[in-house]
Amino acid sequence: MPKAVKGVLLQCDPPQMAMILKLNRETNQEYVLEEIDERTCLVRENRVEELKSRVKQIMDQAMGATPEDDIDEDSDLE
Amino acid sequence: MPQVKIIARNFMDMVAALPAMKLDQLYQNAFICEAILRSLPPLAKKYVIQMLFIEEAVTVKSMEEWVLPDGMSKHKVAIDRLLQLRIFSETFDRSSGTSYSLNPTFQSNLQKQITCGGVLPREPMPLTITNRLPSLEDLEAYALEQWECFLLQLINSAQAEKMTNISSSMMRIFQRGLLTQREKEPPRLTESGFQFLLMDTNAQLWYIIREYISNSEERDVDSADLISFLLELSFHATGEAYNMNTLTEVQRNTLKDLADLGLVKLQQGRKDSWFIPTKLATNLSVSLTDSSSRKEGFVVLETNFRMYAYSTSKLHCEILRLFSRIEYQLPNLIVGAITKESLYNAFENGITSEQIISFLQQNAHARVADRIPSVPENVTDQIRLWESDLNRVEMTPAHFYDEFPSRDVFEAACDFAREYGGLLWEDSKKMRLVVKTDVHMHMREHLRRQRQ
Repeated sequence: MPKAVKGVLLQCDPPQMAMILKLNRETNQEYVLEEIDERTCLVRENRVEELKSRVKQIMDQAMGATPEDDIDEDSDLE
Repeated sequence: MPQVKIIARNFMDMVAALPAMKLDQLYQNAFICEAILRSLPPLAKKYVIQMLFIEEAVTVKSMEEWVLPDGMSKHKVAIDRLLQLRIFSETFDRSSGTSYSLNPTFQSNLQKQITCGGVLPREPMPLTITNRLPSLEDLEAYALEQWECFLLQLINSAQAEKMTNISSSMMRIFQRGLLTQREKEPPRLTESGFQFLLMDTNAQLWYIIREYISNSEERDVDSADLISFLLELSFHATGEAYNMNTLTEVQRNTLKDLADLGLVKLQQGRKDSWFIPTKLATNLSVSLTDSSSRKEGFVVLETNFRMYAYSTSKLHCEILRLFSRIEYQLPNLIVGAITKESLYNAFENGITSEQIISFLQQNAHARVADRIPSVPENVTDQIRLWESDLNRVEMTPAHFYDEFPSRDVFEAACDFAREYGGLLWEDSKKMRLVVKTDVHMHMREHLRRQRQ
């Protein structure tokens, strides 16, 4: 009888996946059940939300998401 | 506008769901017949017109000859609709097979309508009694003000200054689904609440009307009566006065609610009282057809993501705040910007980029509305990009299968999952596969059977 594992299939682009795997290594394999390929992996069901928010956090930092307050006056209204 | 059509169609689904007896009763009213005709899909309209003066039943076979082979699916939709609304009745005959005939009441009503021309449901009151009636502009301003006031109250905005007379229980019914209703917590807009605000007025009105009707039984009002009254109301002339004494008690009570929504204006003379339908009321059944009226837009969006909204409306400001950063407000101008943060906020609340873009396009200011595109392309692209940026990771609840005893079992399992449309990923070398969680139970059964 084949073995079945319950989880959530995660599909994304390779850079994002690299980040998820890095996160997984740093936390002693807490999230990922199976690394399938560079775009897919299987994640523990109860850790999905946590993983999502951590990835978002890292992405926000990487993207430099700081509120921009520059009100530019150059208007293109004729 | 697609949303109107969907919602209006839902309304007709409500009509179709009425019991047969009530539906037959509805068709005794010529105005309902016309409104129903307007709501039909184009092909169904054509069939009704085509069969309007044929007294006998038409066989399915000869009807099918009217359509080309690739129009068959549309033909089916039209026929289904007509049967659902009991406009068509089915008869079966051994020699000629199934045939359809028009509902006789519906037929004679429409015949009259076409040959004698439309009449008004009731005579407007003479000016000698009503004296001076509000001008059409005043009436429209009144309707918009009432509607806006209602909406602000609906979304529980602190901006609502004037309260409508709608009872709080009724308001809660309207808010159902649009606001969260948890105890000890201030209500917040839900996903559909946000989407509701971005719809155009007609679509919003239909939504509210639908809620109003579906809750009518609790108020001891027959839903069929209410539907017929509302549709009839839409055939009155805008801006004319109609005497209240032509109405039943129930209808008079309904009118009070409708006045709060801005559908009618109630006025009182020395002896009589009367109601004046506004554009909102008379547009009700017009919006059942495909044509959509364009209202005056007010938003100018620049290529540098700055937004100028020429509006005095507090509601507009609240709506724009859903997805943009409002910077300052002048008496007739709201200035803001579309920023990444403001959009992320909107996406988190369940608003999609397409909704925002279509709102901006539909409400483009007259100065920019003629330009193509009316909203700068770089802005719409960026809005879409920011949204897709949030959805870089796609997740599907799944089950992972490993350790198959043989290749045959593995391949059979793959085929099985594929048949159910649940195969997400397979690796035939290592004999591993992932299926959607919905098919896991079937899969387990399948594997058990295989083992025996």
